[in-house]
Amino acid sequence: MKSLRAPSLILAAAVLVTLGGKAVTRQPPEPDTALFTRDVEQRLRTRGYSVTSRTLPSGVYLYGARGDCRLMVTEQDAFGTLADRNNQFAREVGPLHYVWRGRRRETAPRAEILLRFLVRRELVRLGPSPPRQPLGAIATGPGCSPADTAGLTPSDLPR
Amino acid sequence: MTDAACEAPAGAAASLVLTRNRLYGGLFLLAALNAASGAAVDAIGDLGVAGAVLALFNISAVVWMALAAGLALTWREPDYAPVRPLDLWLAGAVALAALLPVPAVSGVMLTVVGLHAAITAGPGSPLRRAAIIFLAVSGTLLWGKVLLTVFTRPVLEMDSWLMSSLLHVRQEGNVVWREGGAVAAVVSTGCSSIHGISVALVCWAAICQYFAVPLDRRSVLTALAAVLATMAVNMARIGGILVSPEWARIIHDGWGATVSMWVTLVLVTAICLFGARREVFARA
Repeated sequence: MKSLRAPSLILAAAVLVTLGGKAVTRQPPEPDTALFTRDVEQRLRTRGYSVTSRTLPSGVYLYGARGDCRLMVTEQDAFGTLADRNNQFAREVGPLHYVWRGRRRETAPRAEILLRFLVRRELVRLGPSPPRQPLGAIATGPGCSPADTAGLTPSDLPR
Repeated sequence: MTDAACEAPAGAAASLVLTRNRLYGGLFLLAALNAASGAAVDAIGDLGVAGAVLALFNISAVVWMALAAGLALTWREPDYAPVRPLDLWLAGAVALAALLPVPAVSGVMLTVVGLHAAITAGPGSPLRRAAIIFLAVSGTLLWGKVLLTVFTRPVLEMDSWLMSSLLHVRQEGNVVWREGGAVAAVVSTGCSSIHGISVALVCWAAICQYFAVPLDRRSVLTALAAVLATMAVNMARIGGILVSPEWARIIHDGWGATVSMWVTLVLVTAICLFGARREVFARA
């Protein structure tokens, strides 16, 4: 097996070099949903809403009340895992809509938000930390107008 | 095109030959380790180096066993098919992919070289058997995750529907709850049976290919039994959370998760070895 020493050494070197390169990459952090919650809570209070919250393993649900308007705000994950749970809670308040990158949408965006999430995750591994764009899910009661929900969720968050 | 019967070069010449078997063994190892490196980096970040080593870098023991079985087939079994020009091009592509900092690219290359080796190697040859093992490994390292990422909701809804049907609980989308129960469980990607199923298939592929078990009714039933055992343990875990919500954290993240992982591992390995008992005892 003497002559196989060279290929074996090349293989060992290739494994070491390639895994060594991967070892210096970073672990992408999970989205910091607490940042979203704090930001939205502050926005709600600034606009005169009284705020209560419900904290569950699946996420934090913020409830705002101002005059006749009752609403619920939460963050929905990029994979849509929480969509059904959010729908259930929204029923207690009213119809659900979504806000992503400042734009209101009647249905949750799927492909583009997932693609951005995955690209950002790989970029974070390599070093850059571009801001993440959270998907806000907002349920509004009959007393709310579109103006009541405009600008309630952040477009960008650092983590 | 498949391998023709290859005779061993005589005497010292045998040791001078880099065979397809050995080349592909190296390529499989390089691509598989790099495909697994993302999970390993995450494990080191979460648990530290010592903890990650003890947790096998968050890679199932079945996958490590399958790597060993596949490598044993390519490096130990006598097969002297010479390297072809296309093999060398593929070797270059695997090396380039491994240099990229994105582990998924190596997962794709593991699939490509696995398919190429499986198609071009002779029926029943060690290289084809090893290629099948590494294709199954690429399934758990990459494709199971891709399936869960692209089809998150349909896959989770199917998992939840199965739980609802078998455990007689209420279900809406990927949310399950007991009638009158205090809590609902959101079936997330970590609770899906898909990962466990892909690992069960790796175990089945590794044992069947290592011991050269023919693909017949018995073998298919063995795979089915291994998959069903994996799903049963997973459903028992989620069912436990619904029945005893006060234990949810322990069942989901604590020792309950560790116990269910080991029960699954032992069950799946035992089922696959039982299905291959004739060939295992014949080899012993």
